[in-house]
Amino acid sequence: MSEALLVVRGLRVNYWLPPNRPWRRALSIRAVDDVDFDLKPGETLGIAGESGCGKSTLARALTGLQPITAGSARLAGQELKDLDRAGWRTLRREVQMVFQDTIASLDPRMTVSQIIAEPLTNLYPQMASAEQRDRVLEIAEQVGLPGRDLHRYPHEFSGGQCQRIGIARALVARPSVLICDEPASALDVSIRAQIINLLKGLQNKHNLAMIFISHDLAVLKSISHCVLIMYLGKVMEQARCEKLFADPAHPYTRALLSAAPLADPLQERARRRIALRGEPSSPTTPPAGCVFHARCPWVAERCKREIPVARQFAPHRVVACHFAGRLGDVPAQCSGAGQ
Amino acid sequence: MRWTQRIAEVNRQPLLQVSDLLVEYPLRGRIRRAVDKVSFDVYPGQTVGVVGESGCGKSQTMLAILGLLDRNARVRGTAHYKDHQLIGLPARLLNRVRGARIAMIFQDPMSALNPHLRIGTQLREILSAHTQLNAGAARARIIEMLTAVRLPEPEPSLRRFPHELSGGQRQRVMIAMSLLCEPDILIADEPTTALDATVQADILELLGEIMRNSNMSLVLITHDLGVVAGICERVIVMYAGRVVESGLAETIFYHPQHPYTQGLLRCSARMAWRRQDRLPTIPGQLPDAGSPAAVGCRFAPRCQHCFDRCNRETPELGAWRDGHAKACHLEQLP
Repeated sequence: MSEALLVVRGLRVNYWLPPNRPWRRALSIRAVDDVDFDLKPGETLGIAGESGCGKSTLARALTGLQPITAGSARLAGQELKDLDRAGWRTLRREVQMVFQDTIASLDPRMTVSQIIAEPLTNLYPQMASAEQRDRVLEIAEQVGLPGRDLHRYPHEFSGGQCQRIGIARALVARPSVLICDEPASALDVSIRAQIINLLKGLQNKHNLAMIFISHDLAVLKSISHCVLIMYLGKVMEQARCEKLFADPAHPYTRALLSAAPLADPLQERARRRIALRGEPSSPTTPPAGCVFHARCPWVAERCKREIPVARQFAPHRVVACHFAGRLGDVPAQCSGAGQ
Repeated sequence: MRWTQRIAEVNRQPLLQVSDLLVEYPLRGRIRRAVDKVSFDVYPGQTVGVVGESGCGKSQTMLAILGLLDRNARVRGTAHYKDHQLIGLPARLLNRVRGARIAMIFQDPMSALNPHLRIGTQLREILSAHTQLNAGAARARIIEMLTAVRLPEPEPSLRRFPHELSGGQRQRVMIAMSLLCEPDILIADEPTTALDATVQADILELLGEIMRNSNMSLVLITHDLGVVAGICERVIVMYAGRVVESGLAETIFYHPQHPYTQGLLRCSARMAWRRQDRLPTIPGQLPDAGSPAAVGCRFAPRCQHCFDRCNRETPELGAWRDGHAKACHLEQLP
């Protein structure tokens, strides 16, 4: 087994909300609370969870776009928390990001070749322009952009093509970690698979470590080696991909899996869904005890008082639930009928 | 139940009958066609899914029927609701139908609700426009409806503004609003796309429940075949402004006859996907929304079964068998 490239321990990211009255104290929100994981070269960590669970904040913290409040994140031995702007400038050669809304993330006044070359001009100012051009052409070919399109502008491309430009821009500096924040969610179904296959191919070719954020569990299953399920900033469950999908141990994971719609009428009609109670809790006023207790079908008295510690449940498997492994069937009042 | 509904389809009159609907936009001196000869029927109590990717004209079709398109749109063709031809009807008459007899809900409930008005005010507006109910009766009706869509705390919610509700709650309010006048047809345009997975499942379950307990028809527009699978009886698949295939859900899902439907089904999210495999794709790009009408099949450049006739001649939507129609020159898919 190779050495972990990115080691994250007890990572916490807080946001400060301005108070609603001037004499009150500012509110702090724990957007990411106590997250641990290791990431090896050539592997993908999939992160899933609903909106507001902190998955994008986690990605932003690991790329230096959001300061880390506490805990540690080490990339190839370098502590990210201690980096200043100059330090990040060197480290960004190693960590790059692909965004969800690509068209918005590409400068409309730059041509595609300028966009792809920008990380090189910023991160490797000494690089000769001939080498720059070769690198741009090389990566453009790898992501499937025809060379004749490189002088065109982003608005001339479709969503899928723009995502290819975004991926080329992220990979031109040859990073070792690629963070993809919902890279395929805004794309049409027939294009989405093309982009995911492309990312998988590039990962094999360059031995990239990838963090892949998605709310689509089927997509996550098709790309991840390891999966992290988050809810209100906390890790609910973390496991090797096959294990997690074969036998989800946390109630939230089970609910998420049972909510994914299937493109098959018979299966879909026969599906037993685990219905969650109530609405997602607000991150400004997280509930006491387990953050998930207000919605959990298996909730017990203990969950309302005591915060469950994320514990090693099996090898390569961490679950934050008092009753992990002892859940049993879905309580009757919460088993939503299939449609 | 399915069987009886199929018999009903044979005997009954369609509630909404759309034929040869065209939507065109003048763009830079040329005519761009967003919807090209779309025809379909909606029967009472039926759930119809309209599936396609962005720019296929699925929303444009529905907006055209309700007269909600931009002014520069040219709409031709007919859309008969009972005895009324809706296309070209003046707004004064159309307003008696839309909102009351045919209601619509949209993808993003935040932008569909007015941020300045309280939930109660917005709901009351519908009733005062379409009914003669007095204030007390209107309030009772609104609370009844909000309870039916399982909005938590219906009474206090009347005083709230849209931003005080969560995404799922807003969509529940939208559904309640559309059902206030007991419409015959509800058109839902991507009602769950902006919502989280667990909330999406809740909303779909709610729509399914409403459908079971009423005689309303539902037209569900979506890009996600998974959403259609659980709830729809008939499915219409659109590509580049045209209907490429239509039929009963079981037929479309288990025996698709159009290469595009087949491809779309293969691409839809499956839990059976594994990391070791390449995901199935449809090669190539989506055509531009509303590109000029061209000769030949619009799917031909991406179709693996394409032969020379596909580039010469536009395939018409023809009955294949048993209420199942496809627009493809191939006799049978290999």
